[in-house]
Amino acid sequence: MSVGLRAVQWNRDKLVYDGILVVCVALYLAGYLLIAWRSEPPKALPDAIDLWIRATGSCAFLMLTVILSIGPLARLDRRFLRLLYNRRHFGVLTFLVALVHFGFLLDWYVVQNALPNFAAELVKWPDYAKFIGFPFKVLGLAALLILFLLASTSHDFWLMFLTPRVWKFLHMALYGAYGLVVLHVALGHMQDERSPLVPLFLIAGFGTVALLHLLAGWRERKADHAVAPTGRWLTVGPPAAIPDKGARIVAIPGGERIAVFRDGNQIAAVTNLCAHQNGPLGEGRIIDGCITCPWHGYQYRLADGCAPPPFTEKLATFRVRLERGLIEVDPTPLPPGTPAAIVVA
Amino acid sequence: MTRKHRALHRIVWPILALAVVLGVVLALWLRPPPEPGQTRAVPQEHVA
Repeated sequence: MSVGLRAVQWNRDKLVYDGILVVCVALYLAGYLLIAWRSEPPKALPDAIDLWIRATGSCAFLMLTVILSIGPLARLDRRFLRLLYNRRHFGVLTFLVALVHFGFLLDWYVVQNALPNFAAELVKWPDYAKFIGFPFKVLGLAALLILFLLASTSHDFWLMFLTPRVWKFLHMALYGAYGLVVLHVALGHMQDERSPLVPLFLIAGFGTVALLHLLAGWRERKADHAVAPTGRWLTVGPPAAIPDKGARIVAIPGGERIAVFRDGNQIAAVTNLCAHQNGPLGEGRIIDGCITCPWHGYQYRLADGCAPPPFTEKLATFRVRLERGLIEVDPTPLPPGTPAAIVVA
Repeated sequence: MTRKHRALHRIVWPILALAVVLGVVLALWLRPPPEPGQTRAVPQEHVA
């Protein structure tokens, strides 16, 4: 939950998460450089810089692969929700590693007094018509630009300013950036490097991410099928079919999902979209009497969908009723924060 | 995620996967054979 604007909202969990990330990045870079240095010691300074370029580049690719796997993994298995909690810091760190990769690339040209060549490569227009020989650095630069845009708008201020809906669309640009990175490596490093490890690394990474997204999307599709309406009301099922302190999710025909929660004998329906990042509230739990979003722990009272004071977020609620032993929901949303919970015997 | 996000997701990923896999396979298929003693250097035609 948020109240007021702070640069970064640190807490113990985030510090531990970020600490582990930084240690993993440092270990990866140290391990890569140690192995590469021993197997083929650099003969000159540009060779040493080249090792750094490859170490940071492969590290950024690996980080992007992990980041993009977290979302679908969390949809497929709740245990991965812990990784989703601080994914934005993960993204910002990835941008920084990619920026260092770019910095070493510029340094590689500088130490050879050849910096203008970099610009010349980018404006060698006939190469843009080639496939092999395409200026692959442009693909990397475009990906870096997208990562910069996403890192700079990752703060909750931008989330509120743009609205969660627009913000989420903007941050889906990461998929495009990942595709650009894969092609950047395929048309660049993979053309020089004959080791089968490079294509294997690339195909395994991208293949895993694509497969996870396709699998999660396919499974999600079933949940979007609307339940059969009885008149204007949607049938949810008997109260016992809703897990205690949990929810059952129903879909409005052609509309958004509704999360129907039960806390003992109290039942309430709210939008399935968390007011923070549109997280799936119905996959969360009721903790301390409040609906708790599984993504970042934002909380709302079951009775009226309002965040407890001093927080101000509100959810749209829906009328519920018990009819012939079945819970039914009116799919017309009530204004956010309207009390609509019922008590069943 | 909203219904529109999910719908976009379901459109984007198959297209992206197909395009990238095609790109990588072509890049592997068409890459030139290695030259003996090949090292990475600034292209000579660009050296100032």
